[in-house]
Amino acid sequence: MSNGTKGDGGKGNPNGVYLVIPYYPDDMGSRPLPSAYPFWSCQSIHLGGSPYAGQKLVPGQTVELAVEAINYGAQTASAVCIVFWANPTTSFTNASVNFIGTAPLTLAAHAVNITGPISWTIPEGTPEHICLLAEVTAPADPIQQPATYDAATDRHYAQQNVQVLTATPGQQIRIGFFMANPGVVKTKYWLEVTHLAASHQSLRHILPRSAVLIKTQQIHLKTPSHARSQVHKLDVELDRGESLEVELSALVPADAKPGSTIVLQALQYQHLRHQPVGGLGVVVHVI
Amino acid sequence: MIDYFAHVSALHVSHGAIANSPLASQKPVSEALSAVSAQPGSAILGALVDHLLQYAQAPTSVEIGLLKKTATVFAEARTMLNKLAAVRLSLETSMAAPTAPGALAAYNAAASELPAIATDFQNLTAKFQTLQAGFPNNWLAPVGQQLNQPVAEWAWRDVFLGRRTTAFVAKTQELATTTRGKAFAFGAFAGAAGNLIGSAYLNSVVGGPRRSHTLRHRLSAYSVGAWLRDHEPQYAGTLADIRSALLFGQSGTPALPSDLKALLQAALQQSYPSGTPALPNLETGYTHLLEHLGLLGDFSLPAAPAPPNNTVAGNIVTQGLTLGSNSLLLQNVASNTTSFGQNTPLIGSHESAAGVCEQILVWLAIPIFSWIYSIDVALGGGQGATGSPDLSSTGDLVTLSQSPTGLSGINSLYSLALNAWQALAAARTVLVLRGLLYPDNDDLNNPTFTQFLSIPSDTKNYPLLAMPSSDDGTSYPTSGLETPPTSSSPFAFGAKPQIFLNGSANASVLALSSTMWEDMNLYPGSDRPWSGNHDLDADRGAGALCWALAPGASITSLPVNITNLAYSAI
Repeated sequence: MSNGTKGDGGKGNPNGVYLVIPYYPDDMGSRPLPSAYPFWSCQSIHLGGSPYAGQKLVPGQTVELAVEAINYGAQTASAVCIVFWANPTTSFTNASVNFIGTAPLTLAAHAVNITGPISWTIPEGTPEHICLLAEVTAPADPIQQPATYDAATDRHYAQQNVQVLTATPGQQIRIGFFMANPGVVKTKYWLEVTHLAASHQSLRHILPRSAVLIKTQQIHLKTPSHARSQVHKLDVELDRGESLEVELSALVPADAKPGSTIVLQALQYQHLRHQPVGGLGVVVHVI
Repeated sequence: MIDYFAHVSALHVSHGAIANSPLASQKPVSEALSAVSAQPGSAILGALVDHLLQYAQAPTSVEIGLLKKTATVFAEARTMLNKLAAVRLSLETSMAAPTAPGALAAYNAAASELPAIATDFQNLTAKFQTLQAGFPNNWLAPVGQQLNQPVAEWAWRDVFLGRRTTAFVAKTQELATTTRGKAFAFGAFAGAAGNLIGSAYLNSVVGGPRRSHTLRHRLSAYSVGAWLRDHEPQYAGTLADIRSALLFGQSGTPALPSDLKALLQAALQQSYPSGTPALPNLETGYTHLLEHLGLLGDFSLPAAPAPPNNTVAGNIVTQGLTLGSNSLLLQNVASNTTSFGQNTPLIGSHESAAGVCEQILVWLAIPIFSWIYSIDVALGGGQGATGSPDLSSTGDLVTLSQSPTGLSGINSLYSLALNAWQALAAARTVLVLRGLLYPDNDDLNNPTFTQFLSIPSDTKNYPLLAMPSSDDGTSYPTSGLETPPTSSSPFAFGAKPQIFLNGSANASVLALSSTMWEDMNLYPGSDRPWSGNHDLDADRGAGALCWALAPGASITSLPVNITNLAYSAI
């Protein structure tokens, strides 16, 4: 078993309590995740009894959320799961997360369990597409302080952070989201959008159809401070806690077949590092 | 030595097997089968004679005293957790709606209980410390044969399992004249059948016999029992069901029914006429048996502490606090090397159950004082760390409910509840790992227990020698081979526990019961396969005969030269 490179709280261990929100069967908490399992799509976050698939949410509607977790420690854990929502964003900060609710979770050694329902009435003004973030913590395996909310590097977190759109062949799609600096000092980041070509087991619940490729030259990123859009990559410097609105535009290939799907992922990297610190997915169903 | 669930399951399986065999048409057999249906408690008691004898003697019933003492402290801890839950609920409800009618009074009433709870925690800590001081690391009585002792010095548990049990089966059948007696006799037969086949399974997953791997054997027996409890519940039901059947409808102080006591005593005296220790007090065995079955159910965990209500939890999280973790608490224990989950490994450790719990509870008492103190300070109170805060106005409560101090205090109490719950869970786990309690359903996913739930790939090296006394029994032995080697069981790699009950066409209670009943009861001492003096520990393999050391041989000198015992030999 390997601890994440950071953000694992530093308290859990296999002889005590070792919590994981699993992204795949036998996910023992090693982070970063294998490439087949994008950290922005976790099937352990359930909405209405099944993994949240990015479906549109209607303000005023009450839904039931639940979170699945496992304890790879030797001792039974009394844990608590917390669910947050956020506007579409590649990374979460204290300012960007909105508390939804909590649920207790008893986890025996090597046992997987799911919380009881966490009832949530979707507030007015909530966008159709949001990010759901789940956290699991226990006194014997607490999250790192201050909270990182970083599903990419911390087994205590998971996110379901996918925007699902429909488009016709040849259509230009546009979506907006935020990137943010969750750290405590001014930091340089770069954002890169790529397509996913592989058939991802972890995306089956949101990606039942075959994926088509999209050329990177057809993906553009734009921020309010940039007069011109950048081709699929963006460098920014963000102050502590600062967030920045980004517009992603992409051209659906004219020869894309209706029924196919385009999957893009926007990954946020810290300058000179090669592991993303955040990201989100965009799924475009071609109609 | 199979456990309660395996014994009662074997009774059901053997009853069904014989009822569906040609043997059922014979009068003694049909009478026995009917008697079991009419008097199931007697049959279960007959199946559990090995356990009754174990608990009839002090050296082999140490666990009852340990469980009794620990259960008392567990009960107090549960009560304290329930009290804390009620106080938390009241505080959190008040702080979620501080201007609601009665909120201030409810808050003050709840807060006034905190000092008493803090005292309770401290008292409980002292009790755990006392318990820890008297908690033996190795509580299982060694097996006389492994100590090179003569039979006359063995515990009756070991005499019964290692000598003439088949003769005892035949004798109870011969002596039983009433329906209750016949049910008891059938139970005694089924108990022997279960041990004969079940012990072979246990020996395979353990890597050696009970005499040289006592704790590992107990762990395996309880793991298999828990598996049967969860996967074959139609046979044995629950421990409460078994206990209830053994009460024979008695309330108050139950006594071993005199007719069954007489039958058991006569069968033991006639089966073991000489060469053994004096018969133990069977009443004591029966009383302890019931007590043990009751105690095993006294270690349930309360429901996990609920998080604060959404309003308060949301405010706590918005403050940047980690829900359920108390930074003040963590600072206080940062230098404490015994803090839970960091330096207290359970598997592979030799910490006592009480020790683990005590280590946790010592520092659990901290946040209550800190919380009271911090609220006092925040509101300008002067009652000190042991006084209860008493808010004088709704405005104070409104302020407190939004303040980092108040929210931190609520979070501390939640953390306290979580830690206390986890302390109990950890202590329970240690009791399971020490072989004192059955694993829970969830525990059976743990590799420590799953290893006992299927036959391992390598059973060729059997029997493995005893491990050093420091070994905790949770790992397959790394010791050398006790020569001469033999085969532990006929079961194939991967076979699950039900293999010895009904999963094998030629080596299960289901497959062999008819033959066994006939051989033991109708042809005792003959040369038929199950008419001999068979060893219920299956020490030298499934169906092997009881054995004694050859003249001049020692259990610790390899090869261990043995002599198989004749039917009449003790």
